[in-house]
Amino acid sequence: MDERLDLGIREFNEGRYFEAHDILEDFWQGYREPDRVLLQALIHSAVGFYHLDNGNLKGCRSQLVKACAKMGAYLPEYWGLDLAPLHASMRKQIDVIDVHWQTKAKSLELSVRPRIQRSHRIAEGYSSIS
Amino acid sequence: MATFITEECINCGACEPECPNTAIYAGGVQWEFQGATHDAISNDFYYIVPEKCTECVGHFEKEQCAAVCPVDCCIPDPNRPETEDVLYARAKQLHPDRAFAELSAATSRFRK
Repeated sequence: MDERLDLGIREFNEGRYFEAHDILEDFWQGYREPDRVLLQALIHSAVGFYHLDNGNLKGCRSQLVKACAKMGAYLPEYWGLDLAPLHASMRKQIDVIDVHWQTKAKSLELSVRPRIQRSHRIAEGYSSIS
Repeated sequence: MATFITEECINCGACEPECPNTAIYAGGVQWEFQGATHDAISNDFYYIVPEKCTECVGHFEKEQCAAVCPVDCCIPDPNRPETEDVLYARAKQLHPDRAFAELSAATSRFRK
């Protein structure tokens, strides 16, 4: 797999979501295989958390919804990535935002900052992501 | 309907050079039309000028901004429904020196 996937995920795991999106987008633009949908799901996820960091809850929610929908076909793991925890974290974040809107709470518990981890089951031979 | 950019935009700028009508501007940048300049429609993220958007009718088979947008935030504006005829006439108005061929599936998303 292209090294940009590793680089993008490293940026994601460091919370540098714009940079993560930027690297993954560069990869996505030229990648034409059917599973490019998963790449786009990872971009949606990075952009969603970027918007979250910047207080754009509407943008965050929309992006995470798209990410979850597109990632669904690749669960629980793909490309050696353990996607199920990321998917669950995004669902949780969507719920947190919904509750925030419904209760009109002044503060928002936004503790969800997932990491994309290597799948233990198929990590052999593909261990470059730290 | 003209295409518009939602608040999901991350300002990557991928869409702007793809527009055949130069209808896309960065947030805060004034837009130009027929020699006049106008205030930016959005100060926060890229925006599309409806008066210059043809949904790529006359040019491509689908909206090029949407095709390259990695976050799917270039979408049809439901508040601005426009027919293929209207959009095609706009394309001709925007490019008076260009000879447009008859519309086909390659030059109009309405012909799919």
